[in-house]
Amino acid sequence: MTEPARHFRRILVALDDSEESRAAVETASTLARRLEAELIGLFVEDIRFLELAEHPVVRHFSLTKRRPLTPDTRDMERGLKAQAEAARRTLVAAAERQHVRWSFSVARGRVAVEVLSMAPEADLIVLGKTSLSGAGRARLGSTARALAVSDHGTVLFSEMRFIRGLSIEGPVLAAYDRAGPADAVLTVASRVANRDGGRLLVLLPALAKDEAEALRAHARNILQGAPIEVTFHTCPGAGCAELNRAVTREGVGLLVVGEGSALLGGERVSDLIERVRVPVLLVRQPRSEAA
Amino acid sequence: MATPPLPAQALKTECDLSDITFDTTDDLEPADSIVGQDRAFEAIEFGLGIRSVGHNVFVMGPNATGKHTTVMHMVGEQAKSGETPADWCYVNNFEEGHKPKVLELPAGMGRRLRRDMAQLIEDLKTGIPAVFETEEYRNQHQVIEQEFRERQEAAFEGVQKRAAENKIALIRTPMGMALAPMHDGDVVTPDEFRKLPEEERKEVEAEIEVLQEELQESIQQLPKWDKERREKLRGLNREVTMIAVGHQMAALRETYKLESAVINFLGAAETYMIDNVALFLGHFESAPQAQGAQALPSPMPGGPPGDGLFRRYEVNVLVDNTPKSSGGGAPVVYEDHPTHPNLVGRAEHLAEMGALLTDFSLLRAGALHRANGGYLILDARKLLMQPSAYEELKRSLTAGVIRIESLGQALSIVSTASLEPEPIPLDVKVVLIGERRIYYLLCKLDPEFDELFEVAADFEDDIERDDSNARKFAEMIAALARKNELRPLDRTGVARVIEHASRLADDSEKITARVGTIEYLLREADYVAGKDGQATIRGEDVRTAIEARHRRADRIRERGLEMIHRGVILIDTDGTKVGQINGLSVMSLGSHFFGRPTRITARVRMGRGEVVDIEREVELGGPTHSKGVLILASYLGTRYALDKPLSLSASLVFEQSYGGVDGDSASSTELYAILSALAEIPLKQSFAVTGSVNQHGEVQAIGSVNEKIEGFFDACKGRGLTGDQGVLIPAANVKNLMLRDDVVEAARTGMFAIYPVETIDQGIEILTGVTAGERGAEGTFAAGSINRAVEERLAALAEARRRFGATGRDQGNAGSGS
Repeated sequence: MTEPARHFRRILVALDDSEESRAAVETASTLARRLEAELIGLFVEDIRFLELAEHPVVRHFSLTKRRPLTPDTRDMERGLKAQAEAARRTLVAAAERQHVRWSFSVARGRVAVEVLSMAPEADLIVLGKTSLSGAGRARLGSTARALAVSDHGTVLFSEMRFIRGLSIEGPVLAAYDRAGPADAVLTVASRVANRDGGRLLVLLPALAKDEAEALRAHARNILQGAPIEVTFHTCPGAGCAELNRAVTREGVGLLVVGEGSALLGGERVSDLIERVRVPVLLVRQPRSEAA
Repeated sequence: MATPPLPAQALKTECDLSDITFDTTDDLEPADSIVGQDRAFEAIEFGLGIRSVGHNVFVMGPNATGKHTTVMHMVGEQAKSGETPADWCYVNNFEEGHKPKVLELPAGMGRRLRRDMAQLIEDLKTGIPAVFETEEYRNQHQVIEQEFRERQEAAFEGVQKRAAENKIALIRTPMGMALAPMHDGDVVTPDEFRKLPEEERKEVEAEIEVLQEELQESIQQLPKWDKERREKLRGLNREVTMIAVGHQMAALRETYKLESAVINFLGAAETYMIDNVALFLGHFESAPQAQGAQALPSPMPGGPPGDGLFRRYEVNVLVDNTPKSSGGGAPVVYEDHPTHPNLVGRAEHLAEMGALLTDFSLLRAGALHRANGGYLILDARKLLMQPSAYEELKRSLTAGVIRIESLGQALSIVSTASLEPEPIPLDVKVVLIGERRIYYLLCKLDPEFDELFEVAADFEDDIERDDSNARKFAEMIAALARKNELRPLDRTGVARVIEHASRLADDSEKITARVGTIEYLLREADYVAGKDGQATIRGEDVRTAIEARHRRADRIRERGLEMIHRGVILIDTDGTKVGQINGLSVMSLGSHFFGRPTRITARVRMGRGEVVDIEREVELGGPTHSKGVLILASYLGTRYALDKPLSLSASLVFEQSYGGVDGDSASSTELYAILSALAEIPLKQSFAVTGSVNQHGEVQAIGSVNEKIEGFFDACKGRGLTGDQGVLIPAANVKNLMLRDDVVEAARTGMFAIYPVETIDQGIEILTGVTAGERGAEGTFAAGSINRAVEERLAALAEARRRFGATGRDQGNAGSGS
């Protein structure tokens, strides 16, 4: 391999009380077992909620109560503590099922800020795609957006429907070219796919024959020795739609893509994450490497 | 004419086996049944043969007569030709869990059904989750979830869109949802909001009010939509489960299509599986309980999680009558410990979290279940000793069903919720084995007993000792020796055993029917023979075994003899004494009997005709003894004082007797003592006497004559036999004589004598050496005879009493005591 192997010893998962969060925990715990990593749970008590409790004009509603609520700050704090406890239980249950080491902490502040502040301690961050605090149609949440543009090396954007241990089924698809942290993409993808019967699909951009051969040879060189079944596919085009087609066509369980990949066709990573219905593992060139 | 003593050969009837040709019991055909119990056999055969509710059998008789062996053998033979009954299973009642249902299945099918259901559950444990993990199911599930989500989103989207247009955010918070003013994509803080112009603040507030109403309308729809979603998911799950379960169930239904009860059970189980599929998906903690279902215990300790919950689909084979390779037949059950639960079954419990839980799978069969369709053998005494066991047996037989309920339930002293298993129809023949006393007590005290135990089989205590039975007995000895893997008995051994059997029967013309006692003797004799290195059991070995057995239990008897020899207990065995005689009594210590002499004394004086029984006065004498004393008083009056008042006062006492006496076997002895005292003629102390007397002076038979004779013999032997010693026994007891060899030998050599006595006159002549005397034509007894002396003494007493009555004082010496 031309790049030092990336090791995922600590996986950070951001939690709240949503189904998306539970899905992210399942995905993270499955990965932790596969990669023999430690699971770190983080619950952030969003200070915006505390501000909302004191807001003179904000109206609160409950799906279980007919009248509007009038919570004060202490009510909100109690609600957050209850959520934190529920999140802890979710993490513990998943970790025990997968037999992985775990830790759990609670921070207070802005979710994205707190997750990012803890990001250096983790080799991989896992979080749900949708907003941790939004309502209505599922879309990329503010935390996911923040992490999508952050400089953390590897972020996995989980997909809600992969719950109850069904996550990351199917082969791993690595979008591979020479742009950005391409070699790291292959390394990470091979590690995630590294299990009994694990399959890795390497999606290459459409190139001239010689270039394509050279790229394949380089990829084989990186993947040399990995006990997985590797197949190469050529992507006729580029962009989120093209990648989504490949994901659907191959029944992929996880998409690994590098920041700035030529296969994105210049589209934003956040668009890709919103579009595809499988977890997306975003690999970035660490600042030191980029430099 | 003096009564001669019995010849030695009359003291023991030796066994004559000359008609039977054999060297050892190996040459004999072993008997296949017990000898001499034909009446009992007929009764048992009748009772077993007749199939009627009340014709159960009570087999009674003394212990060790082979009742158990006979019953087990006869019932076993009868059962061979019986039909193999059905299997009985309990299964879960999916509608009312506390009322388990019963399945009656052809013999052997219960086991198969249990295996098939276990296999079905194992298959479904993997089959159902597999179906739920298919892409197709997931997609359908996702479609339903998505539909709900879209509905929810659509409802909120309108609110959210309008909110966004007016810079209002809809936010999910730990308390629910919130509408908050936005600026540049972020919530306006309270401080910022307060800084806004009042008009703008009011606009925001107004807008939030409107949005709030819209939002609440949408929120009110959510529970309804969620309910629809859940119903759709449930419907999907049912469909998917039905596919997974239905295929497997169809195969089982085909297998058991002829058994409607099984088909019903499979149907109920299938419905429950479909309604509670979460159990198979590993979500047992949230598995809903069917209405009325009883909580089944959660996992067995140490078992895999959730496995306990699958027990509700198991088949509890209560009675497995799978035909054995040796053939079918009806069951024969002997319940050695007939407690209430051992008879009617029990519901076991599992302790969990401090609570005791049970269900149909913990129901256990009782003896009635196992014997259903066949025969149940019980010991009456054991049955009656167990609380409520007899009552429950009667209740089951009368009702014709077996209900499994605890003793607490049966007695209504426990009111906690428990199982009420469906009762099982009962068709069983019960054979109770017990003592006669128990049978007659039950007849007397329990009006239901007669109706349920119509057949009584009464085992004999002993059988005739004739040539035919002697042969059969010898064959039975052969059978016992083989059964117990003992050495064979030679002719002397067999003869000695038969002689001992006569001794046990206390009759030289009978043989005991206590086969068990004989069996023990054979084992002990075999031990003796083995110790001597003999290949066969000889008569000598049997004798040694008998003596050893006596010796083991003989401590008390030996201490008694020792006290006689040391003069602590005063017994004379030579010389003569007036009004003193040796009586004989028998002591019983468990199964060991022995005789011993007791000094009886009599004193007479003037009185009003009463014979004072000192034993009775101090309440040491039993009623039968008192009866004997009153009879002898009557004899005295009618024999010697017909025409004058009986004017004596006689007192009788058993010297040095402190434990009480009963029985009338000493009444003749007491009479001899009184006659001696009246006649003032001494009695020979070298004799001991036994026998009861009637009002005519006839000496009547008594029991345990052999032990009594041997008791006095031992007392004399210890001091040295003089040749004058002997025992007077009733002539009617001669046929009971089966004396020890040393007694017989002493008689043969003239050192000890047994006199058979028919009348008091015969006895008194032997005891005094004086003629008793007949009443002559003139109405008086012959001069010099004992009777004359007695009569004259009584006349003198009467005269003295008359004079005493006339003058108020005694003027003669006839009233002095002697």
